[in-house]
Amino acid sequence: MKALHRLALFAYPRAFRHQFGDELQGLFERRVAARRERSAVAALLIAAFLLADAVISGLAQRFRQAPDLPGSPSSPHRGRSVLSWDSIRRDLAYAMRQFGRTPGFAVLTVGSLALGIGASTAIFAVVHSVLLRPLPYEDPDALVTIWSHNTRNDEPNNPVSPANFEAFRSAPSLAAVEGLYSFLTPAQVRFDGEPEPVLISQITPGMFTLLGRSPAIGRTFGDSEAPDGAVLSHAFWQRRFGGDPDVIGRTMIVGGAGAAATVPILGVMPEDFTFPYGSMLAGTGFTRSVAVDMWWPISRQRDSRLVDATGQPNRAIHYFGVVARLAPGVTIERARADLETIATVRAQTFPDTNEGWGVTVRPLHEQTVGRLRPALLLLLAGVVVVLLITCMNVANVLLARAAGRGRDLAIRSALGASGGRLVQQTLIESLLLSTAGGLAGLGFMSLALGALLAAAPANLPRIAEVSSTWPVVVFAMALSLASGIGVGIIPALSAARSRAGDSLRDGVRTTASRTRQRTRAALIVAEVALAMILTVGCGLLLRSFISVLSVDPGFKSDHLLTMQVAVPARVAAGGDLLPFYDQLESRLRALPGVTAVGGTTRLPLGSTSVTTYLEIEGRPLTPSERPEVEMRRAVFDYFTAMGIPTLRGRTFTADDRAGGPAVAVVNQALAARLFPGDDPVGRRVRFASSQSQTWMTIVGVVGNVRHLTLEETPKPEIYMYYRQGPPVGPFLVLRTAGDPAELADAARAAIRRLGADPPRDVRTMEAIRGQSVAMRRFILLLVGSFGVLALALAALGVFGVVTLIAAERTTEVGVRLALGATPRQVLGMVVGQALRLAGFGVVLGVIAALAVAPFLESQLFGVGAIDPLTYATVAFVLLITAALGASVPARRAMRVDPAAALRT
Amino acid sequence: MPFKSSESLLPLTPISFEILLALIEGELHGYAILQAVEDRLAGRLPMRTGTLYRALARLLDEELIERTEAAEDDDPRRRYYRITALGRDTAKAEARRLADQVDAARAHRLLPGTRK
Repeated sequence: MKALHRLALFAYPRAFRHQFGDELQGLFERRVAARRERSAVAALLIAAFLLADAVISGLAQRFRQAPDLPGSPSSPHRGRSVLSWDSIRRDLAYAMRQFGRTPGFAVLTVGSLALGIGASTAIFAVVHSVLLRPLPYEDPDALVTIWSHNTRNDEPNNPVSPANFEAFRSAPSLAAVEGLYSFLTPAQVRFDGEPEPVLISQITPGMFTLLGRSPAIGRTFGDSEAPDGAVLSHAFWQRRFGGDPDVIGRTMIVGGAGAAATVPILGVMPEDFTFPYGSMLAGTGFTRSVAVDMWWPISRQRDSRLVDATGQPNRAIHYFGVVARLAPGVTIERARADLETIATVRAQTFPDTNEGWGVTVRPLHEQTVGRLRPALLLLLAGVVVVLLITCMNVANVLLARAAGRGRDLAIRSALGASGGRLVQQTLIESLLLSTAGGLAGLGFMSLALGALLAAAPANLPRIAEVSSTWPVVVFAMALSLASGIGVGIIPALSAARSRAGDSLRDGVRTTASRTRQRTRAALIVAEVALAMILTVGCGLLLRSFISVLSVDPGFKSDHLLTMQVAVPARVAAGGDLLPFYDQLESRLRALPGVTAVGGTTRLPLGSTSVTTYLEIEGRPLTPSERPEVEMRRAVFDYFTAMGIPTLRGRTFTADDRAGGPAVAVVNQALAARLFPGDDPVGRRVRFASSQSQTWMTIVGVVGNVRHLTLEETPKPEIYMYYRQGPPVGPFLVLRTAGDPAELADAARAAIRRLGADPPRDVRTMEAIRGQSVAMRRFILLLVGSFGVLALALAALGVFGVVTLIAAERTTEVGVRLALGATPRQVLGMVVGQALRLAGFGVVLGVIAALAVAPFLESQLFGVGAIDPLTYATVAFVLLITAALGASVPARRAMRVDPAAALRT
Repeated sequence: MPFKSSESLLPLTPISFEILLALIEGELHGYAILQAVEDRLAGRLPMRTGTLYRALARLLDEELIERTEAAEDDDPRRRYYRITALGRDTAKAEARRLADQVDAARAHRLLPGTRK
């Protein structure tokens, strides 16, 4: 609003603005603030009034109209003065009559404004809900996340060790510090009868208190030292128990035979409570899905890794996320300094584990949605450009109408209407159009928002919270107001300039004034320039998308079906999993159309990764110097099934059995990092977690695989064999001869017959690969549609203006034709004029695009922000579009009958 | 400074007169002038900020009022306005002119009350 008023002040002459601009702005802010105490609507009304006033008074000042007082006793035009109820009512009635006479014009204008305003508001609704609205916690601005910063590898977002977490609690600048596992845990629980899969977030008992949220029913963990129980999420409570309040006090059985425990349900959190958001897990969440079913307390009873062999908090394993609340009045910088001091002291006290580890402190809000900010702001900018182009088109049409009404206005002005009244009348027309556009836009927005949310990637943080709230409606109204003034201002100026004499003195052949022609040309140039910026952005994103899709993921993603299987609890409890695996392998292999069967613990592009620290035989390193590598198990013929090439040595065979010599396969990146210029085959490594780990002999090197995202460079990675440590929840991959999706039912049935739960997440690898670029596709889709819209609008704008110009030049064209010009030359003349304007727009657009392109950098991949090919293509497309837009009226001009044209 | 008669500026526009009236008691900043005029008129529409400032600009031009710098600890954007001697005389002259007109109106029985 404030910025809008600053803009409106430009209606005043410069000298006046310099003298009084700041005061006017200050007064605007005070008056709006004074009304806001009464109600938001009153504030909005006075803001609208004062904005209109700034424009009208500004224009009046330019034309030196005497200032008048509304309804004052001695005003010569009582009831007709600017901004009196009476005059507004008259102008509204007049505008309605005008629109009634040309309904097509009104519908088209309102429709295009509705589209522009609706689309902008839909994007703003997303920006507002995701970026601007506070997180659903008490005083969320004081919440921060803390990560361990691995300064050696320059990885600032590592989870925190339990020992460091305890140490951070002593920071004086933090009022409270709580922890959570930096991953979600899938588990099987039984309420009655069958085990059900649930997704759990494990948190320290005080987390709910720290976040300042109490349960909807029941209680949370309380202050007990060893709490036990579970708190349910609202969604899970509704889904599983139909919202039954008697669920409190019921119990569930956790874990298989032998290790089963009974856990009471303590409470249910409110519907609007989400924790953690996926992005709070620092990208190491366990599964794709981040909708938490329940929260369990972290306790020493349940988690043996919390302490080391000596009973002290564990310093060696990093797996905690940390959320803290700043003490009142403390800045995040102070907290950071405090925590850095703690980290430094600990690095001196425990150099073996803490050397090279600093801290990262970041506002919780930024942690949650910070990564989305550039993309969302990009979308907002894109849609506002579309709205701007729409406004320019509407302004152009209004300008043409004003020209057509020149005589009308001139007569009114001759009859005593002041310049201010003419300005008011034109502005009321445009405001009426834009308000109608805004209202229709709100309707369009709710449709667009529905489509937007359906197309949005599900793992976009806070996307579920998007809704059209009051601020969104206010935004839409402010946009309508701004666009109403925006599109009205130029025709209004032109109306105020029309002096009584000019138009009346002119003969029948009214021509647009030189200024009006220049204004029109300027609008076209600006429109083309804006379309150029948007389309360049669109082109760059498209090229990035293509580069990402053409990244070799390191495996063959076609003809692969994937799923996650849970080893049945009774088998897992029995200890020997291999017979189950053997049966699984033979059943799946026997399915018709299956050519290879493999599996792993972490699927590429589909889940996340787990890392470990390695010791290398014959290379003594302190714990903090040990290399961190990703770790997976290969099940069955994993490398064959995935199409991952073997580069050196061999992969696993049936001879690598349990109890035999431990073996491992490493990827190329690990070979290059740990054994540069050396053959890793035959070398021995082991996990650094304890001295009792066995040494594993590296038997082969395989190709790199893009695991987290297609954009990220592969990290060092080690594979172990499932026969030497079978996992309980492996992902399986089936390579098929035909369409992998058709095999899903057969695979499900085969697994059911083994007595296992139906597999989860049955998807083709192509679908997973598609999912991994979902955000990129989403942004491209939106920016792409903005780009197409911008092109169409620009073409429409060129068409409209060239039609007007051609119509005004009818006589000239007639003369030319009569003097021997060929119709083809006329065509060339009209199109040439349009192309000159468009060309100027393209040049301006290129300059502007070069200036804003760096802001796009974060969204690009494999293409620079200044990519000549994109710029050239877009310029070419725009010029073609402009030529097409101009060719329709140009053809009409070609057919002008010289005799007829000259006679008029 | 060329001599300017207080009568030469009459009649004042109603808004100019209102501003001068508001400033008779002492110097005021823009918002206070606005409130004073709004209070007195209890207008149907809120007072237009633009109108106020355009009138202020004209009064400054005609040297009926003058502008002072912001006080030390005040909002630096805030300026105070003060009526000049010429402004005071002009306001008086305008008031006399209006009173004369009102008397005339009374004489024609447009208003209740008698002629003095």
